[in-house]
Amino acid sequence: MATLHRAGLLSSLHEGVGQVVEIDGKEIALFRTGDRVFAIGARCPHAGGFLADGMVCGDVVVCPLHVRRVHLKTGEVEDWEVGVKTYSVVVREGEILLEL
Amino acid sequence: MNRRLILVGNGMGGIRFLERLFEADPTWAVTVFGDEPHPAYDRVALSKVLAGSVGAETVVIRGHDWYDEKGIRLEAGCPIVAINTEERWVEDAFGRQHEYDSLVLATGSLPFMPPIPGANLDGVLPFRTLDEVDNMITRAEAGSKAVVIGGGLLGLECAYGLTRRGMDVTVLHLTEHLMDRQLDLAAGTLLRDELQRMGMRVMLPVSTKRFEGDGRVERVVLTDGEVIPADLVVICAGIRPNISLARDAGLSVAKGIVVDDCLHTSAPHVYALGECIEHKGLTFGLVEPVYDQAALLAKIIGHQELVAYEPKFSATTLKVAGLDVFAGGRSVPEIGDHEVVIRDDAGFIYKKLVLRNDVVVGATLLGDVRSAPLVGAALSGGTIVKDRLRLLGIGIASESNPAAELPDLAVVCGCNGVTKATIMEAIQRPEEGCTSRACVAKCTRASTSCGSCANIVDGLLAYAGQTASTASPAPVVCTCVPVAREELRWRILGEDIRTVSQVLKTAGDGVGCHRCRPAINYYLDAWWCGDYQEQPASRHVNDRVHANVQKDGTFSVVPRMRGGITTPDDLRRIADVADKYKVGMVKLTGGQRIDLLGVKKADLPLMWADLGMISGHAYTKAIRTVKSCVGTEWCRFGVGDSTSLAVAMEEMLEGLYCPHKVKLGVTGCPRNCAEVTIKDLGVMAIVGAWEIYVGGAAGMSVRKADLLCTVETPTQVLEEVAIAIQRYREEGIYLERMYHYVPRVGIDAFKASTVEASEVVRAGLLDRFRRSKARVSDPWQAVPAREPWRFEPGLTA
Ligand code: SRM
Ligand SMILES: Cc1cc2nc3c(=O)[nH]c(=O)nc-3n(C[C@H](O)[C@H](O)[C@H](O)COP(=O)(O)OP(=O)(O)OC[C@H]3O[C@@H](n4cnc5c(N)ncnc54)[C@H](O)[C@@H]3O)c2cc1C
Ligand code: SF4
Ligand code: FES
Repeated sequence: MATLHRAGLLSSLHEGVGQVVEIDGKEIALFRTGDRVFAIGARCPHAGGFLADGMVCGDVVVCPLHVRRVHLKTGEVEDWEVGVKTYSVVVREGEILLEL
Repeated sequence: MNRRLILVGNGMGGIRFLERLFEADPTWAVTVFGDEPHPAYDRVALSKVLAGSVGAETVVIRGHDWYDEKGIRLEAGCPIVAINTEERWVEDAFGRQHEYDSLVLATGSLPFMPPIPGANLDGVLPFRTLDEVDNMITRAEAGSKAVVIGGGLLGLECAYGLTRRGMDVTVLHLTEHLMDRQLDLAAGTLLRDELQRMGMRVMLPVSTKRFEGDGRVERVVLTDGEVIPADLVVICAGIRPNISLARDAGLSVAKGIVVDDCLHTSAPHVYALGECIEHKGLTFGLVEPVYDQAALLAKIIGHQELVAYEPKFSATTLKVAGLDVFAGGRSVPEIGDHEVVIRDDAGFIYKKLVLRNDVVVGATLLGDVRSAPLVGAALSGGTIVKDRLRLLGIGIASESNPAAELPDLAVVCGCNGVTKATIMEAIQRPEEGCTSRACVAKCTRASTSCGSCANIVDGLLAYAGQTASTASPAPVVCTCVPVAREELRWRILGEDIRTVSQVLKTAGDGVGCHRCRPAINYYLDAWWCGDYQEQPASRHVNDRVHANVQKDGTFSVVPRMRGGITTPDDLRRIADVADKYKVGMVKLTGGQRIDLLGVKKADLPLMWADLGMISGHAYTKAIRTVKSCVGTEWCRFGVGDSTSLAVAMEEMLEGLYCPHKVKLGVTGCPRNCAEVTIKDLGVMAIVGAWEIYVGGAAGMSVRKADLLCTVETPTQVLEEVAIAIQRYREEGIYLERMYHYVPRVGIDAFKASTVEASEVVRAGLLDRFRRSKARVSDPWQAVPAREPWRFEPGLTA
């Protein structure tokens, strides 16, 4: 059964600028667009780029190392066979909770 | 108590100043003194009043009710005769004294009356005021004879007006051709033929000996003895700034009342604007700069803003029905310039551009002035023009509408400063949009003064009526922002857009991509001279954290080391920092400085603080390094002090973002140890002078730089470098290195738009350079202090 984990305050996650959290030994990148929060695996499957450092354009984050486009909703990586894991997010009273 | 402001001069500049001041800050207690007995009126429209095409009642800009509504005390017909700048009061013609906190002089100019005997006879008049026009109209009887002295702009408008009133008019002109200050001989001659065809007589070159008559003027005697009968003589021999009041009060005056960049005179609390002033040796004779000054002064006094006046190019138009003339800049080429001329004598069409390489430095349009706004924009921008014939309207299908091609921010009505965008807004307003020129005039004031833009307003009305949108031929910024770069510039500046997301919202798809967002961010920075709002979400991680991301997600730190020169102290600190933060590698870069690689993001601010050195911008599209050699300071061959100049140059430029990285070099002699001929910009000392090179490369491709200019002193080098870099900053496409930009526009055109550009264009570039530089701060100090979260490794749970 999935459990909810505290991942930080919504107010400290800035629009369009990713952050990394570590939960249960897993590195997870968080992104905020408006009031929505997305959570995906922190590393790009291509060569390990830190996706949290990428630029967010709509619901895509562009990897900072070799500009592959990673979809925040599905985890799909354009031009690459494997994607990244996605996590469900709940925002409750200003707090970000991850399901994993 | 409200602050007291006194305005002396209720003319065009004065009233525009009041309008703008009351928009900015309506709390001033204002008193206006006007020599003329009327509320403010549109002097430019007097020519049309004289010609009878509009009635005198239409020229009022603001009636008495407006002054009342704003609580402004208007003393019309009450000139000021003295100023006491120490006790801060003025004295009016009735001997009353009025105290002020701020005083604005807008006394305009006086017609120049040449010392010709008989000038005091009744019937000899200048052409400046409504009362003088009234006087002329009263005297203008059909069939009676008028002589106009002076075949300049004013003289011809006067001659035309009197002709329309049925008078028999002779124009006497001193030089070889009419409007000699604006037109070349060919255009002046064509104009003369056309005027004569319309029934005026033009005599030139002639000079007047005296006016004769018994109390009232009856004839004009020329120096060659010829006698011309005259019932009315109008003198249009030029204007002189009206400075007597200021001079008597001890203010500094030359040709005009001397003002600084903030339109402040030499006396405390006293400002001046309009035709009475002199700014950096220049005086003014057109309403457009006067309006610019009025708006600026309202900002300075109303908002206490620190803004500087920067004169723009102003073009001249002639307001004679059926006789369109537009002229700006040089009318004749200098050696090395070239001309593009289109001429049809029978059809009364003459169009000419004077180009210095590919930059327009002068333009004349006679007969067909439809391309005037585009030509005007090219003249004032000093930009490079490749398709010259198109600029003159050739190659545009005659049924096509030139108004449609204008950029949004192109000024359509120069007199009132109304842009295409403003007019289109009025036309396309959802409710009761304008459908006629008269309505546009009422809503925007366009075409209400000199009227020369009326045909463009008509064109815009027609354009708005068309449904089909035409595809823009220029390449667009990005598929997300499908507008040409030039158009984007007009929109950003015209609509006061300061953030990437606003640009995306108003001109794009609302989202953008990783290519266009950093580009737009750069354009905002460059075009607003740094006065924009950075949004970290639209910047690459390098620019967010001011370090270069490495393949393992760590960062590299390259402190600035101007000219590649360092000190034992700095080296010791670098060594200590490298130890303390356990950096992966310390490396000398190809750019004569030191790279510390493998730094964790969270350590960056701490490391910078320990280093106490400023950012070298090695991670971004900005000024990188100025490579130097040891030069005269040490080298036995050196002929120039390359190290000092390299350091000064780097100091001057560092911190400025550019379309791409810019690497520079200064070398002490042609042995070229600093490899300056393969730099984006390089400087080489030769005996007695310095050569400046641009557009070199030795990265993915190799290109030898082009020689831009040779100058004598390091100070001159710095000025030319600032101008060249600023031009590239404004015109370069994002991610276009200088070695692509320079060949794209051509070195000759680049020269023409920088080293050989007119003083006004150069001063503008320098001013924008300085304003941009003034906004630069070291990101290694500023960013962690302002937004520490950018460096935080994770979220606080
Ligand atoms: C550190 C340095 C190599 C070194 O150890 O010497 C370096 C490192 C990089 N260069 Fe370079 N270049 C460095 C000197 C040069 C030079 C030589 C010079 O500056 O005198 C050149 C040739 C001259 C030129 O600029 O054209 C050079 C031509 C390039 C190019 C090709 C540019 C071109 O248009 O031809 C790139 C790729 C690009 O810009 O797109 C590049 C890109 C890079 C990047 C930024 C690639 C990247 O995005 O990661 C490297 C960053 C490494 C890092 O994290 O610091 N680097 N690079 C040098 C830093 C100089 C400095 O102090 O600022
Ligand atoms: C017939 C004509 C046609 C023109 N056509 C054009 C054109 O087509 N395009 C164009 O750009 N420009 C044109 N101009 C020029 C334009 O009118 C001027 O550039 C503009 O009016 C300058 O504004 P100003 O406020 O500096 O001076 P003005 O408008 O002259 O105002 C100065 C005012 O100060 C008053 N004053 C002076 N001394 C005192 C004092 N001691 N106390 C109180 N009041 C005082 C004067 O009486 C005057 O009313 C034309 C000018 C004329 C005369
Ligand atoms: S090239 Fe000239 S300036 Fe440079 S080190 Fe050699 S001699 Fe000196
Ligand atoms: S590591 Fe992400 S694209 Fe190469």
